[in-house]
Amino acid sequence: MPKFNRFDVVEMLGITPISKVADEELWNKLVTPMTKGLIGPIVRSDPPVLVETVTGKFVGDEASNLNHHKLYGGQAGYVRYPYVRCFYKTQNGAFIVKRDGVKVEVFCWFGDVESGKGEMILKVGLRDRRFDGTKRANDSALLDYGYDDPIIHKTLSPNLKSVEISIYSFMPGSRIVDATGDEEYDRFIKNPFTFLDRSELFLTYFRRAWNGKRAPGQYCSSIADVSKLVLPAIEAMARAHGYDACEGAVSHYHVARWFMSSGYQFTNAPQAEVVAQFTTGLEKIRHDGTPLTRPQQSWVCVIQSLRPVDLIPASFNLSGPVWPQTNLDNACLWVNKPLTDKAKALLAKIA
Amino acid sequence: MTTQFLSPNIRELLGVTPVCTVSDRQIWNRLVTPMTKALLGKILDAAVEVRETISGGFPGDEVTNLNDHRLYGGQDGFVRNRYVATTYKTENGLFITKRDGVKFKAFGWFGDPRKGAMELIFKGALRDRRFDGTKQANDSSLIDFIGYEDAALNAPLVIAGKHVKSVELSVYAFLPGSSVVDVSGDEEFHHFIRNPFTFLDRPELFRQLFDRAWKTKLAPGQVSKPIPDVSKLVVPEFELVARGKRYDFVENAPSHYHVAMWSKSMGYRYADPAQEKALDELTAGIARLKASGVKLTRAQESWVCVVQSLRADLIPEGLNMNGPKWPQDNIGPQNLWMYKPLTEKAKALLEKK
Repeated sequence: MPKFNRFDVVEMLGITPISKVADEELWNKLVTPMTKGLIGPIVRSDPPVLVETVTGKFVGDEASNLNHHKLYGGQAGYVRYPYVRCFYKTQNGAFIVKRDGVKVEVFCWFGDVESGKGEMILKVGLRDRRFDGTKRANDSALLDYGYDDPIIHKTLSPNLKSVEISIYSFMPGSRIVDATGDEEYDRFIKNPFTFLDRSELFLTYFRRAWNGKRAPGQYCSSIADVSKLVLPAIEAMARAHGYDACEGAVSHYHVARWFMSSGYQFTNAPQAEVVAQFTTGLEKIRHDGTPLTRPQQSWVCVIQSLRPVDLIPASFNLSGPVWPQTNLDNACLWVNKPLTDKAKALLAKIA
Repeated sequence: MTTQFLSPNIRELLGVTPVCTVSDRQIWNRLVTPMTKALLGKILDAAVEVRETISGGFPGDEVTNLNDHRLYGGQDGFVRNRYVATTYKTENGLFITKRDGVKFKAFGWFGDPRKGAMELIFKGALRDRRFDGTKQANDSSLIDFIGYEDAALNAPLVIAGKHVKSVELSVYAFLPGSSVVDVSGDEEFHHFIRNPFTFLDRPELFRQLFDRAWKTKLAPGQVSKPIPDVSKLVVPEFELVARGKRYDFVENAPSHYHVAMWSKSMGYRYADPAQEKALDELTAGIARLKASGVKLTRAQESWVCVVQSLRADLIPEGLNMNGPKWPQDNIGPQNLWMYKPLTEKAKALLEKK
């Protein structure tokens, strides 16, 4: 009898287990009580729609085409792999689920999104990482960043199934630009690294941010219960769908600390060493008499990238470490948490 | 109030249908006949890969990009939907399976791949028809013909007002060394036999080649001798496999009269009443010719149907039926759809029709 190849053709064609998480499960586990309270109960569900264009149902609902595919005779505006959108109108907004073969993404919008007057208040994504490190990863239309670099985006292990998690929450009406009208400052808080090429302006905004309560990246206040409830819910969900590990790519120091406090570890040893240097440096600043809030800790990390180095305020100059993930290039600061015994054993071995 | 959550079948919505989960073992055991197996010999080793380019492992192994997608910044040579290709080396050739979300296709190649002298001896496929009538149908790189996107001509099967789950079956078998060009060295005649309708724009040449074909044992489309047990064994096996994947109907689009008659003898019926009428007229015409003393082989019956599309003054005397024309020329999008119910549910639905 000939030996036939046994393979999972469905997964080889790019449909991974994460795409099977049900809408009900997502609503029940990932949309926190506070978020539910804001958007209100579901009042209408539209039939699922297969979308193959970059444009979405309304402004802010767009998808991406990171590999620059041009379809139907070379036309832009399409995505290679269509995704399914499930739209639920809620009393005060909308709950939207988007899925392709490798990612499920949950959005909560506050306000009348169908008239273009909505505000995104929650975005949670779970993404199967199996194609990372290849161009295939970027074929997902549900990405904000590329994952095709074979070194930076290398998967944990070919023998482990892992999902990348991403969580963002925004309290409605709390956006900097909405409160101050200052769009540039809003952009600075959103990503200060984009201002490094204008060092004087960077310093001006840095000083302003130092006195505020916003950490880098926090251009809105977060919804209080999201950081408490969502991470364990995602991990349970990932485990239930056969994944061995959860991973995150952390943009700032306070996010890294949050992951660490939830049992995550750095994937890359040299990066772990860099973060340890930051921790030591921050401790030294505190020891020298400058108390630091959690947002300020993250700002100290950010300012180490400012050049020339003599522009860095002397008391904050850590003389060495530079924050590894700027969201300007491919570089990621990966953290991971094993969910299964297999992952624990394998990751311990790798470490 | 209880929230009504949507629970769509995401996998199928994303275009990955049950037909692609038919295993290689099933395909080899059920769909490759004893004669084909004997020609290919035993399976020796295997390799599986995911592909995204039109080019294959060797000439003849290519796939298609009918929607003319240009990937990675506008480059040609890629397909939109990747497919999984498994290549099994056999004692005397290759057994290859290809799958994307809507189709599996099995190939038997005879010859030595290292010498590049491969001859296709078997090609069998099942294709989920749910996306027919839309451009999504043509996103499959495993299709050979244009036109599945045509909503008027190739919409999915509807029975008693309901869209049904159906697969299209296609089977081709060729005895090695028997192709017209190999036997005669005449490429033009080979092309004529393969698809005589492509010669209609050169009517005199058509007539000349038709007269030659009339004297052979070859039916239109038959560029090689078929492997004898394929037509006997394979169709019921395909139907079994389709039923196993919960399809209610199997369909085909026969290219010539003898294929349509073969399908009919196995329980297939015409999907379109107008086409059924055309076929009845052709059958009646053939019967009239026979009654008038013209002796026709099965192959000649098909040639008589083909020649009705020729300019009237060039149709051989005594063969002009003055009306009906063969509906599927494999040039345009028009197909002669035939279907067969596979399940009790399908049969019950047909009774409501």
